[in-house]
Amino acid sequence: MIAQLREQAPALRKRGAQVLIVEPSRAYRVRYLVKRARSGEKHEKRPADEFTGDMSWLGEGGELTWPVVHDEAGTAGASYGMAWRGLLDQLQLCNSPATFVIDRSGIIRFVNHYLDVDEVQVGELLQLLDDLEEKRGLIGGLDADDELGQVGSVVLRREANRTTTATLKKALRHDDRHIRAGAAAALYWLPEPPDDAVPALAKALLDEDTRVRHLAAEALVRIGPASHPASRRLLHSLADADRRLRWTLARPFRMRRPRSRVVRERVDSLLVTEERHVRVRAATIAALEVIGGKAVPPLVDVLRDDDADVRFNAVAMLGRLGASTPHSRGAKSTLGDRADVVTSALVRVLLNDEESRVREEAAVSLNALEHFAPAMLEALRDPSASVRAAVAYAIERSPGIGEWSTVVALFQALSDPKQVVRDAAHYAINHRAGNTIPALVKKLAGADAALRRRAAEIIGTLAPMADPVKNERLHGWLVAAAVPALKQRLGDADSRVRKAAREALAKIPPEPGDRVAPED
Amino acid sequence: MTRLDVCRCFAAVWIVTIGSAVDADPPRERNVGMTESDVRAAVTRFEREPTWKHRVEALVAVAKGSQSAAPVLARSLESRSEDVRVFAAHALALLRPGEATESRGKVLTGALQDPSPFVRAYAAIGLHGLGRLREDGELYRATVAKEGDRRVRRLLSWLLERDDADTIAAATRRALRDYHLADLDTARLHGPAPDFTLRDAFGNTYRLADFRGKSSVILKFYNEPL
Repeated sequence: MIAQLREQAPALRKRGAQVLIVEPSRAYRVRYLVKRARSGEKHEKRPADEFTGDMSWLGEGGELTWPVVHDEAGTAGASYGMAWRGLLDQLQLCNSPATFVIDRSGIIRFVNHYLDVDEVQVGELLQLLDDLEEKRGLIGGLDADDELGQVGSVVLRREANRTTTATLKKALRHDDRHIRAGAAAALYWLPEPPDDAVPALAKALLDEDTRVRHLAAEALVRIGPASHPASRRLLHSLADADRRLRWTLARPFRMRRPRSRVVRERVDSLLVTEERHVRVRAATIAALEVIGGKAVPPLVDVLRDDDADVRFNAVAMLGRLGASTPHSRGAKSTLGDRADVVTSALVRVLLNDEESRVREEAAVSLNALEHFAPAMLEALRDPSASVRAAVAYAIERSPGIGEWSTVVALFQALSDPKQVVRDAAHYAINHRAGNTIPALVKKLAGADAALRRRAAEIIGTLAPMADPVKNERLHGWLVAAAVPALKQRLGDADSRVRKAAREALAKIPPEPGDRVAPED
Repeated sequence: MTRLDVCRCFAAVWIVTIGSAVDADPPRERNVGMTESDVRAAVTRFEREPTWKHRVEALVAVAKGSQSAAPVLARSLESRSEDVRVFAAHALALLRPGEATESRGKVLTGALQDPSPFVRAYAAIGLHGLGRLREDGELYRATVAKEGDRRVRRLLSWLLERDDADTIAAATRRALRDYHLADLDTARLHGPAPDFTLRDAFGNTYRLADFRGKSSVILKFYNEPL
């Protein structure tokens, strides 16, 4: 990023942008780097020389392209919500670093808190600066219309009131597309999000003019959760042919502190993919995040849409809304009490959608939800191997993993003709051995002799997989829970159960310490 | 590159504000309105809930009422919480020279034995600020030899080479003392950007408000190794 800022300095200056790099009190190091660069030392990072660092800060002559200011007490950072930057590098961290874009009026127009992969690129910043100037121009242009009065100047001076919003809502229906665009831009620009403009902005999403649609979408996204009445239309507009609109809708994602690195990485890569439906999906995930759980009803509705892209997006988004992340685990998901509704809807898609990619995505979303419905087991017989594997992984994450029927279904999946499904089933059984083995042990002690025998047979089939080193978890559970139960069954009244138990016991590998040492 | 240069290179990774070392404190620092009870309250808040905001508040309180802070901080150094001990060592390192020198030197020397490397690092800086490293160089060289953490060892070694006691903490102390807590965590999307004035390594001053009406600003909080 720093190198990009240096390389793009002419483009940034052309847009009248000033870059300030705030360093947590390492000014001495900057001075040292400059001095060394000017002395002609090579810009190479030498191993073990922690001070050498990234010389991309500096131009050829050792000049700093942009000022590097030091925030010795962390006070500037404290104002911007950055936690204390401590004395020991990397050890007393604080929040993740961030990029802010402040417009010429001194208003923060963009925030990007990032970790490693979601750092905003300079190209996006250039686009953002252009967008801001375009908005400013459009808003200023509103003054040219006599009927609107000086509404543009009022907005730019941040002196808007309810009358201003009413005027702008009316202007969204103006015959002149420039005025409509200016009104949408002004509604974005207002100091307070104009919640009451949501219906008008939602209508503007259908405007014939791409720029109006784009600006209306941006204003809705800025309004945030209060824009949920427009979410259905917003969802459809994400399939808009205009790339810029989709990117605009993706922007809010960058402005939020991402909750999951995995999701961020995935979205980041999807946003640049050539596949249209995947890109749209990424934008969906990004944009609807600001709407939250209130997006559920429209998303569930469009699960029956004729357009597979839209169904795919909706399925993915439902999973995203309900996902537990490392930060939210144990807390209520965004879905709240709608989780059951979403699970049922996703299972319907899983079992009925005509497109396998949509069914697979439903399984992935169910995985994210960590919910279980017995009907999911039916999908282990889906014609698509990808779907079957995704379902096995979803079951692994769900509370249904400890059910007898689930264990049997997964056990059957171990014989699937496709390796990818067998792997998924194996992973589920092994990784959740703490649930699967007790389910089998419970059946071993049951009243039904046929089920006791079946449980012993399944354990016997699993036993060879339970390598004490490679599958330590499965092996551990077999030894701790299954072996005592099987030994009891050696005295079972049913001879077939006794036989199955004996065979299973013989197959369970001994613990490493129990092995007989080879003779010299 | 001399040995001293190498030491400087390594140690600068952890040092606060060496770049402004030339900017000495004003000749006479004064307490600016924080009583002992104010400081105690701020420190107690942080001890109860060691969040970054409470930490900033407590450090500001210490910087504004430093004379009264030493006994409170000395007690905090005995806390079971590492966060609290780190804060206490840091705050003790920020106190003005000449304030509770003897007692501060004693507790900071004791803090060099703390299990936390952060506490030891701040203690080293505090002792440097008091001029103790220079006075008792041999003693602290022995400490360096025993120090188990590579980073703290380098920091101590580097501090032992320097003879500009207290310049490390001076700018930090000044910035904290001048900070308005009303500005804490006030940056909001579509809201006014909080103003600040910061200097670069060459002494140039940049005030954010000076760009208003002239140019947009890309503000990059950088947090990665150079």
